[in-house]
This record gives sequence, structure tokens and C-alpha cells, in this order.
Amino acid sequence: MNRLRSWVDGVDIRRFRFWVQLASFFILVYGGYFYINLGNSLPTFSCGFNGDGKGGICYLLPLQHQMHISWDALLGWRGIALGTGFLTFLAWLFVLNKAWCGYVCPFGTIQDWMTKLRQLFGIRYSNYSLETFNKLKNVKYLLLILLLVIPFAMANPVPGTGHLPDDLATPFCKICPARMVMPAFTGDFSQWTVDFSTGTAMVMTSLGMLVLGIFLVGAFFNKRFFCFFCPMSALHALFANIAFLKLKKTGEKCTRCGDCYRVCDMQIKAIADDVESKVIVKDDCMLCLKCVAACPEEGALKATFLGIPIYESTEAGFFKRMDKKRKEAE
Amino acid sequence: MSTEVSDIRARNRQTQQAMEAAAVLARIQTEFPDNPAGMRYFYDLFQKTYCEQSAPHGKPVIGTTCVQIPEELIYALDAVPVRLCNGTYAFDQAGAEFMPTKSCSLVKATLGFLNQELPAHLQGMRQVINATTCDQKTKAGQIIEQMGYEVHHLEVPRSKDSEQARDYWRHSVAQTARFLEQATHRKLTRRGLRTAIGKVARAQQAFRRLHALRREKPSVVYGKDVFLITNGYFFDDIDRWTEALEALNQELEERIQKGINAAPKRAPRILFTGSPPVFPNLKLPLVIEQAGGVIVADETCSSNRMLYDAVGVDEWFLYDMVDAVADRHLKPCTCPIFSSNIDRQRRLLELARSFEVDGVVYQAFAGCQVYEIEQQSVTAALTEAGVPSLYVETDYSPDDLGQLTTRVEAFLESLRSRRRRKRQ
Amino acid sequence: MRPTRVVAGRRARLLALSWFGAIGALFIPQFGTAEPAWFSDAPPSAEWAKRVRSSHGGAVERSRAGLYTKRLWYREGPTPESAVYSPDYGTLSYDLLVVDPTGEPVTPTSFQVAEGTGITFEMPEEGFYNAYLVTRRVDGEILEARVLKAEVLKHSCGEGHDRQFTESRMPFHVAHQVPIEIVRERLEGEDFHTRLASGDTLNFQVLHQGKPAAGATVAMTSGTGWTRSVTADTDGRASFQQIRDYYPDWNLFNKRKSQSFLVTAHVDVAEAGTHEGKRYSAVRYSATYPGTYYPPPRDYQSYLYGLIVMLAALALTAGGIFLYRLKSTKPSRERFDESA
Repeated sequence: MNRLRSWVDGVDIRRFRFWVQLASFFILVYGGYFYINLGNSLPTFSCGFNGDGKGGICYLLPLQHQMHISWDALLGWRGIALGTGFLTFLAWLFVLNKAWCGYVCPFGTIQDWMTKLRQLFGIRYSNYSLETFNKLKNVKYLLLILLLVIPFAMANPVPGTGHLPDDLATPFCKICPARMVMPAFTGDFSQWTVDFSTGTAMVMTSLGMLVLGIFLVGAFFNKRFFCFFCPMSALHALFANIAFLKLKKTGEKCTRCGDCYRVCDMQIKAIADDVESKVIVKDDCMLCLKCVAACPEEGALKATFLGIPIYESTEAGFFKRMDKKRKEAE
Repeated sequence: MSTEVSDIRARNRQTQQAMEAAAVLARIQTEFPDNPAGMRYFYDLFQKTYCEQSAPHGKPVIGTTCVQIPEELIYALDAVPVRLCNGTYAFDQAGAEFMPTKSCSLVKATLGFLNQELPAHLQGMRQVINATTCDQKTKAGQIIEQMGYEVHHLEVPRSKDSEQARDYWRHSVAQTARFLEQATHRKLTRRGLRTAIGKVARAQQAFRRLHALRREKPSVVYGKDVFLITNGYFFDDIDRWTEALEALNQELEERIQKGINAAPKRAPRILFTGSPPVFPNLKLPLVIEQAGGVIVADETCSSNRMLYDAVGVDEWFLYDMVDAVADRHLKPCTCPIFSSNIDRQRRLLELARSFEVDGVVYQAFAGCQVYEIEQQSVTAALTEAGVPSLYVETDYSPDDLGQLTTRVEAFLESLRSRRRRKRQ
Repeated sequence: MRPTRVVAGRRARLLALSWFGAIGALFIPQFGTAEPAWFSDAPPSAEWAKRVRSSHGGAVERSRAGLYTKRLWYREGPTPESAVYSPDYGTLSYDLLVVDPTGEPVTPTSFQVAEGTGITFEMPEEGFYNAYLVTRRVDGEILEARVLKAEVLKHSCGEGHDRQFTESRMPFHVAHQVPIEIVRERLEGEDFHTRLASGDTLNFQVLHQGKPAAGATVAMTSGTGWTRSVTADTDGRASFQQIRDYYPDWNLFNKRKSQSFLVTAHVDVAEAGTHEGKRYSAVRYSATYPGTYYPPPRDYQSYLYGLIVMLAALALTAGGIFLYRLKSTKPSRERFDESA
């Protein structure tokens, strides 16, 4: 048992993650061709605009649809549909918590591949300054609120004011770059257009293409560029501390050497500086566990599932991985 | 003063250093029973370097004056970093020429040492990197320059938690890399830095293994030996040093298996912190261990702080490796020059806990203001955690040896009786 | 039912009197009622419109429990847009048949209100329901056997989108109880969300007594009355490319503009008999199949502008990062607010 544990703790998490991500990508982007259907409440960007290939649907799409609900319908069957959809989402989320982002999300995986591409060219990554970071991280909450409020406001117009245009339905999907990127992987570029049918549609789809352009450059230079703004991440964050999979920190063992912060794709400074919190899944965290792999202190960081440690930082594991990575770089 | 007279004085000092060194080495070896065979390498290393003529490194030598100078960069350019911090009383006295009387012995000794003909292993050293840490070291930089060395002033921020400090420090380190490129007429390469990081990581791994072995109860190795080993890291060939330490670790593990311990079972376990013991000034550690204590852990820049924290690289390119090296030399550093010493307190408490120490000995060199200032807050934190501590203000002079011994013996006795009370 | 023979060749042409096609032929007095009739789910009045909401299968009435109910109105007229809601089926002799997506018969409820007449049925199953109204009446020497077919989709996204399930519900069903039937073959990759659009080629097959009706006259009429008539091939198949007949100004353009089409087919057979005491010497089997189609995305979506916007954003971002990196190699300078 101890040998198994030390083997697991010494594991090369990047490689493990690469294969899990690849498998998840395949299931969520091409699984539909093999009749894999994980439902439409997935807490990850398995884009519903991807045609037959999709192996399940990102919960944000049905959520926006379902939020198009009038007050009185809330108590009817549509309210029940909204509720069951949300409970299904929660059930999925509770299993993997934010590891949905770090290990499953195909859109996140694409960004990791773009990072690999950048590394092939040996180009330096970009970072936000701490102040910019602290401002930008709130964008995802704003997007989450908007994607809930806009459809709801469409279904419940305030008397005396005009109706919101129909083309504002699923407002987030309109500006989400995954809508263009994910279907492209099954050869469908039909989303790469500007819709001139109405003013609203024109503005929203133009915004979408604008965001796509920014994304393609941003994700090349900035690790996990989009994830800072992802409203799914914001939705996860509301439940991140009560899900089954957790990232825990033993503050006393931390020397604040900052190695975890260095390797964090999401620039989470608290992972190094916070020595008070026991559970340290911050709102931007994607539970990729790179920090655990980069921590040289025995048991300072660990991932637990229902309280059982599954991956723990060890000195031996740290040096083994660093050595391996160094040799790989030869 | 004629050159002849100064030559004679310099030669005298070197002789004095050799004598001081020989005396300390003798105490280390003869007054403790059953030293591990693996220590032989280190005893010989100091014997050769301090008392005889050691072989030159055969590579460009870059002098450094602080743990915060990234040795990885120096190794990356195929040069050898040698830490110049000196522990010789004779040089302390000689250095008084440059600094006010009430200055830190270590800084004075370093200046005294540099102001004479260099020993064989430092032959040809032209460049010194001096970190602008405490006031005395900062000012020493210019004095070293006046002695004819080419000095690079590595600018260190006085606060380490902010992102500005990190940014500033990364720039400083990048500048140092540029300086080293000029000094060595080489270009910093990915392969070079990668290899250097690997080399230092291997040395650190060996050190950490030794560090972990010191948790053993009863103690398997004396602190005086550990200080000697880590002092050797200042100037020894890093690969040889690492191999010797790995061999020693192996031996110590065997000794644990066989139940051979260094200190007696009941010896009070001491955590040593404060101003760094630098050979041959192992005065306080030797007093502690000769009085029956055993130093099981330390928090000093000549040992733990120098070798413990490791470089974590994410992308193995110069842009990330240089930053990673920079981060490792700033963020985890517990040097008292920084505006906040919370990390130092935390580390002391954690070491006290995980090494099950009975008490802490805090050494402050007279004139080392930063350690003197921090004494209060550190003692308060230790007291709050229920860890007894002894604050010792001393210097390189042997004059206070008697008084020190009395104080240390009393402290150790109080620890023993405290332990007895606890057991009852 | 006795086996019948499809009248082909000169005889058929004589009977059909060419086109005017199926619809036009019905104007000829000796063939009785002139205009085609079909089922439509479009509500006849604003009052009725309030009771329905749109779904992926068109207008439905929905109970609080979420059950979808389809209401089909009997309509008659030369073009889908100008057709009227008739108060009755024009004959008392008719058969009703509704088959659910699994092939099981469903009992529809007939209704007759001031605005019109028709049927309603509940749609608990996902997929295509087929509703048939078969009327027979003798007009002169000819028995008019009309089959009104409505193929209506029931799909609620709340039921999920299991692809295997969807695919199992996609093939069309044929009702062997009706004498003539138009079936629409599915488009490539069609699913519950597919909207037929201008420009799509729609393929139909006419089945007479369950067999392909080779040589049947098949006509497609768009909402505004544009009509094209063809003769079915030996497999009873006929294809039409949907025309575009929606040309509003840009500001009035509605990409969700639902337009109707109506497919009619008829087969004339020399077959003598009596129906409700009246003798006849020939039978005209006619079928209708209504549907809806929409403006195609290519009418209002532009790749070119999309790429321009995307590339501009891409270039600006890349340029911004480049300039920032160029600048950030120089020592940073704090900015102070000089306006205070």
C-alpha cells in the first residue's frame, strides 16, 4: 500500500493529465459518432454547437434556454426541468469538482495544446500583473450573472419597457469562442460567420468572432487564457469547497517557496501565500494538480477525494519529476 | 606601511587562520567519539583548504557574499561560485580597518580575508558578486571594489512579498546573468543552465536527505559535522561534495539500522538559528554540543537557508529557468533583512515541531542589527508556542568562551529539567 | 382492398388534362371540389394563437404537466397563404388515423368550432406523428379519394438529444391503411432540429396502395403560390428544390420566418364501383403533404465579414502583445495623475 502510494505520489502528473485530457477530448468531441451521450448538464465546455460528434452538452447552453422561463412557469414542469437539470449538473460537478476544467474540458485542452505549440517555438508566456489579474477574474462572475439574467428578463419583460430582442437568447454562447472552435474539430465552420438577420444578431455574432480572434492570440501567449473569463468556472466556484474532490494545504509545512505559484497556469498566488486555508480550491483553480507536483514539501499540498488522499506532494516525487523534465528538455 | 611589513602581517594572518582552523578541526574530531567515516572527506577538505595548499579549481572563480546570489547562473556559465563569507578571527581583526568597531564579525572577516593574497583555490578570482542585503554587506561592496576586484552589486529588494519586489528582483537577477556573461566571456545557454539547476538540485537532494536524517531520535549526526559539511559547499567542487554527502547519508542510514547514535539519548535537541556559523567560527555550536546538547536542525544562511528550498521550473527555456532561479532565491528566503519575518518565525516553529526540539539557540553577531532586532519577535513567537530559547550575542573573539559555556550549560540543564517535569 | 392498376400513358394524360397539375385539375368541374385540402397547425385567429407556443415541431399546445398536444386545422385553398379554414370536411364520409413515432395508432379527438374544424392528439413520444384524414365522395363519374397527411414532429429539448434514439426515430413510417400517401425522405444528417430551408432539395415518394406510384403527378406549391409539377419516376419519386420566395427589406427580414409549402400528388385509376349509393367509373386518388421551410443561413450569414472581424481582432491583439513586450524590456515607469 505504501509502495503504491509513493508510486502515485511520484507520478509524472503532466503525462497522466495529457492522456486523460486526450481521452476526454475524444469522448466529448467525437464520442457522439460512437453514440456516447453524457447528457446535457455537463460542467464542462462540451459545446452543444458541435454537431453529431459531441458526446454531451455544456450545461450553460440548456441553462440559458431553461432560464428563459416566466415567473409562473417556475412552479410548473419547466421549473422542474430547470431544477433537475441543475441537480444533474451538481451531481457531475461534485465528482470531479474543478478537475472538470483541468482534466476534462476540451476547450481547456485545446488551450493547453496551444501552450505546447508556443513552447515549440520557445516563445515566452505572458502574465497579467497582479492588479490586472484581480480585476479580470471578476469578469467571469459578470458573465455568469448576465447569462442567467438576460434570458430570464426576456421571458419576464418589465411592463412598460420593450421586449428584449429574441437574438439575445443564449447570450453567452453567442460570444463564447468555443462555439466556433469546438465544431471546427468536426469540420463544421458554420459558426464562423456574422449573422446579419437582425441588428442584435449582427452585434452578438460580430462580438463572437471578435472574441475568437482575441482568443486565438491570447491562448497562444497566455496559459489558459479563456479560463480567467469562463462563467462555467464561476459557477463551479460556488460549489468548489463542498465537492468531493478537494485540494488541501497544510500551511505549517509550507515554506512559501512559491514553486506552486510559479507553475500555476491560472496565476493563483494564494496557493503559495495562503497558509491559513485548509481547502485551497480558489475560484480560478482548475485542479490540474501541477502545484502538488511542483511542491517539494512532504504533504504540504494534497488532493483528496471524500477525505481520502489520492495525490500528495513529496520531496522524492518533486526531485524525480524535476529531474525527468530536465532530462526530457535535453 | 611598507609593503614588506604588510606582507609579513598578511602571512601572519594566514598562519593564524591555519592555526584557528586546525584547532577547531581537532576539537571537532577528537572531542567527539565515533565520528562517521564519511566525515573524513570533509575533515580532509577543510584541513587541505585552510591549513595546507589546496588545488585551484581550474575554472573561472566568481566570489559571492550571500546565499541570495544564484549559484545556478554561475555554474551555468561553467564558472565556480565561491562564497567568501569568512569565519576567521584573525581576518575579523584585520577587517576592522574598513568597518566601524561595532560591526558584524562576518563582514569584517570577509573584508580582512579579501585584503590579502588569495589562497590557492581562489587564484585568479577577479569578480565578486555582492548582494545589497543588510547595510554592512551593501557598504562592503564598494570597499571590495576599492581592493581592486570587479564587483557586481546584485540589488536585493528589502521586501519580498509584493509583485513589484519579485519583478525588481527578476530584473536584478537578469542583470547578474548579463554581468556573468561578460565576466566569463561565455553565453548563457539553455543546456548550461539546465545542467546547473540539475547539479544544484542533486546537491540539495543530498542535503535534504541529511536534513531528514537529523529528525531521527536519538540523533545520528552532530550539528558541528553538519555545519562543516554545509560550509564545505561554500567552496568545494559541487559534484565531489554531493557524492561525499551521499556516501555519508548512506552510512548514517546504516548506522540508524544498527542503532548507532551520535549524541546520547537524553541529549537536549537544539534548533540553531541567527547569525551563520562559518568555519572556523563554530564556537557556539561546539559549546552547545560539548555541553551535552545536540543541534538537530538549523535555520541559518550557512546551512539550511542555503540548501533547502529548490528551484521549480515550468518551462525549460531560459525565460522561465532564469525566473525560476530568481524566485527560489527570493521568495522562500528567511533572511532578517526583509520587512517581514513571518516566514522565518513560521519556519522556526515548524522545524521546532517536526524535529521535536527541546530548545532554540539564537546567535546574533554583535553588530548584526537585523538579527538583533528580530530577536524580540522571534523569541515572543517561540515562547507563545512553548519553545524555550536562548539568545546569545557574540562575535568571533574567543574571549567570551567561558561565559558562553556557563550560559549554554545552564540553558541545557533547564531543558533537561523541563523535560523531566513534562514526563512526570 | 382490391388491387388496382395505376393508369399510365395516354389514358392518364387524358384524365389528368396535364397540369394545372393536381391542384388545377381539381378546378375542372367534372372532378368535383376544386381546391386541395390539407392539415395545418397554424391557428386561425389571434385568440387561438394565444393557446399555442412554438416548438421544434411547430405550434403546440402544452399542458402544465408539459405534455404537448397538436391541433391540426382542416384548410382548403389554392395556395397555403390564402387558404381558408373550412367549417367541415365537405363530406360526412371520412376516416381518421394517427400513428405515433413508434408506429402505434393514436386516437385523435375531432373538434368543430366557429373558426374551423380539425383534430387534436397528444404527443407524448418524441419523433414524427403521422395524421391522416381520408375522405371519399363521388362527383359525377369520379370517386374522389383524398388523403390529407400531416407529418408533425414532436421534439422537446428537455427530453434530451440521444443521437442513437434520434436516429431510430428519423425514418418515415408508411400507413398501409391509406390508399395514397406522400412520404418525405429525410435530408442528409437530418435530426429533430433540422429546418428545411430555401435551396434544399426535398425528395418525396408517392405510394399508392403501399407501392411506389410511378408516373403520379406531383406538385410543389410554395406559400405564395409558386407551383411546379413533375411526374414521379418509376419508384414514385419526385424531387423539388425549395425556392426562395421571401424578399423583405433588410430591416424587416426575419430569419425564423416560417413559410409553408404544400406537396400534392394524384393518381387516376379506371376503377368502377359504387360509393354511398353513387356509381363511379374512375377514381382519383389525391394526397396532400404540407410542410414549413425557412430562409437558409446563407441568406443572412457571412463568412467573409466573420473572418474580417476575427482577423482584425487577431491582428490587433498580436500587435498589442508585440508592442507591450517591446516596451516592457525597458524599465517600467510609474505613471502619476497630472490632472489633479
